[in-house]
Amino acid sequence: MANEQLDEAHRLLGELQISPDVNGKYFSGYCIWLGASTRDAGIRQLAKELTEVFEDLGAEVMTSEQVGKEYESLPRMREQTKRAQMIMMLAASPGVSARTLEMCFESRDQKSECRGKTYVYIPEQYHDGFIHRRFCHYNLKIRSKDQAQFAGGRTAVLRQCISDMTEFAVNTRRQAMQREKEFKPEIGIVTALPVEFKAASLILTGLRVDAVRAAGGPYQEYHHGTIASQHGGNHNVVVARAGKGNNKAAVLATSLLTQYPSVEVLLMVGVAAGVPNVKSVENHVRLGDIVVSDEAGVIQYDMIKRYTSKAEYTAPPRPPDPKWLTRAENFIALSPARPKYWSYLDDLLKELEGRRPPSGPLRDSPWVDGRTSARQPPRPPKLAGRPKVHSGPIASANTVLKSAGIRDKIRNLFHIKAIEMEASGLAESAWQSGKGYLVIRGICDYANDDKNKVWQPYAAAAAAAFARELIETMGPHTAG
Amino acid sequence: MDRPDTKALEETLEHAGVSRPSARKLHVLDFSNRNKARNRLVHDSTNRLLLDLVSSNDVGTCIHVTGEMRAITDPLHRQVCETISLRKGEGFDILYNLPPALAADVFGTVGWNLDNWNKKSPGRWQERLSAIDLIANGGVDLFAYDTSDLIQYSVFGHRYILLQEKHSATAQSKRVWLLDSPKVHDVLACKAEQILDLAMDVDETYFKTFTLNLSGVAARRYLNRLQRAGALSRDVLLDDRLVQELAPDPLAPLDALSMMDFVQVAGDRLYRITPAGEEFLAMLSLGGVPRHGE
Repeated sequence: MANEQLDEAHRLLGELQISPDVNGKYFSGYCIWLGASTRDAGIRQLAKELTEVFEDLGAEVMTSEQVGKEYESLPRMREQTKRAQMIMMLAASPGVSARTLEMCFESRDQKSECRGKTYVYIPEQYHDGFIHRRFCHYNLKIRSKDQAQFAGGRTAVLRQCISDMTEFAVNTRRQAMQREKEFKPEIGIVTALPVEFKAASLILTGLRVDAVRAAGGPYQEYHHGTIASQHGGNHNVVVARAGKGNNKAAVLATSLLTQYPSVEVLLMVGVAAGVPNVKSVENHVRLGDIVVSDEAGVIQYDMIKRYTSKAEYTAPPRPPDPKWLTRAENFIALSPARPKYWSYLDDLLKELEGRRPPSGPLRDSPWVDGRTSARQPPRPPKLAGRPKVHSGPIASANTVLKSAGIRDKIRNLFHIKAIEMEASGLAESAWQSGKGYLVIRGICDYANDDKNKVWQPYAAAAAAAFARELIETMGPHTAG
Repeated sequence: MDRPDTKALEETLEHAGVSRPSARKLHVLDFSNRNKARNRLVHDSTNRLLLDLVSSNDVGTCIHVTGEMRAITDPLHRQVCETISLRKGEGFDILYNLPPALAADVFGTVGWNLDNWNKKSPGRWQERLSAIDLIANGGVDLFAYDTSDLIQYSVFGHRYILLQEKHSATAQSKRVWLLDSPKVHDVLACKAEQILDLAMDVDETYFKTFTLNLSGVAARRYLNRLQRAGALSRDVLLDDRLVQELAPDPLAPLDALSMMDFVQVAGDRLYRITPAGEEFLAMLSLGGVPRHGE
């Protein structure tokens, strides 16, 4: 290839203030259809140079020479030009001019995008001619250059082609960026642990990272994406990680709601300790199960008034969002025999390289009926190896609880199904901001002496998979 | 619905060419009186219904008979149009009130829409430009016709009609009905198709040309220079080596920037960049050229 042509291209890109991508390419992923005469030696050479320059800049180039006689077939040509983001026709010869006109004429009936992306390079000497007038009639993008420039080694047509490709690519980028800027999530998912953050991010389509470093504010990384609604359309969702504890959850939730005022509901999605109850099959929560907050919401059990001889729980009630609560309750009640989130869970486990740990008897302390371990209450065979979804109050405090005695005391007081460390901070932030919330927790331990992290990946994935299907079942939202 | 609303429905349908007996038999899925917020809720129901129909591949022929096609400045409705266009390979047919005299060139066509959208609901430039992008990318199919005396409605899904009572172009709210009636649908769809045959097919590539004008070398040079210099005359802006070499019509990008209110001319006849122009330039200036589809 003539290095001078490539140098010229880089020089122009510099003048146009266009920078390359991380691979040093400018037009990666773009496909150009290049129509040029195969008979005229000068134009053939120019087309060859253009092809080499654009390929060097990262674009794929299809030329009429490469596709040969198929070029004569309009349906075939339509198929090929459909794939191209840009069509460049060097209309310095009657053959190419005629094909350009034919293509435009035909695409007008077909309502194809051909005309919108076709750039015609024509000698300015033809400015008053019939063909030029027809090109104008079809609203093609016409670029006139001196006829002598339609030859190898000349730079005017090359520079124009680069400029046009840049215009096209900048316009494409502008649209993409505008969509990004328009990102108005209606759902915020808050997580605490990295494994929860990863699982929740994996349920998004079109994941994109948005790092925010507001002056004087905390640094946050938000993951943007969508979840398709079963009712059509998409939910825009933002996912963030707070870290452990209610204080961090409250700070993150407030930052998120400030950054994205469009968020209507915060979902706390992650792992928690389950509250077993071997004497009540219905209420018994096992490892791998899912607990969703019910209308009682979150009980902050470390907000107490302590007297000499007693303690009084004083946390104000913060009920979850009624829309999401209703949806969750209906979803749980009407869930089919094999809900979709089971397969989402399988997929997530593959991505997280996790698996469902083997189930075993409940090892609890204080012991159950004087035994160190108790047989798990039976489950229907269809639930074997699958999570059961519970709905109930969830206890929350800045305490890593490893005491079955305290756990059972709280259970007896509030009928809780799970215990964790972030939901009350999130609930408070949502309440203070006039937004809704819902807590979805996968169960990874029993908050007793046997507490460990073995079930965390599975529980995080179960909560995220359930959240995904729950969101899918919610109808989309119309902007006001 | 109250009695006056029922009467208004019958009159509106009659005005649209549907007989009174047919109007009495139809099923009203949703209704809004003259209340802007309620109007939005009926449009919301319609968008949801459309998305359901798209999901079940039952969206049928979709035709809007409208005035200024403000519906596409709503993000959800744009999403609906894009989805229909992607699934069906053809977009909503939109019959709107573009004067035929303006339909013959880029700035007449796009400018008319921008003026009307701005007048009634001046909002963010991003919404207007996204609406233009939707058209430019073939998400809808436009037809110009004098719709000022017509009842405005949309037909879709073989049986559904979104009907608006007769209202002036400046009305902020009106009665709106979402109806389920195959019979009325067929009558109104047939009438819309008859008008489509008479209407002028608008060249959607004008909208593409407009957006490319905003992203080309000339627009970027103008905005950059105005940002640095503060105010410049038209002649000074046009006197630019790269613009002269590479912009086939150096005035067109300047006009496009003016129409989007990215630049403004003051009494001293000097151009200045606006806050919206600053935002737009920042968007264009971020990074290099992305991979296609990024």
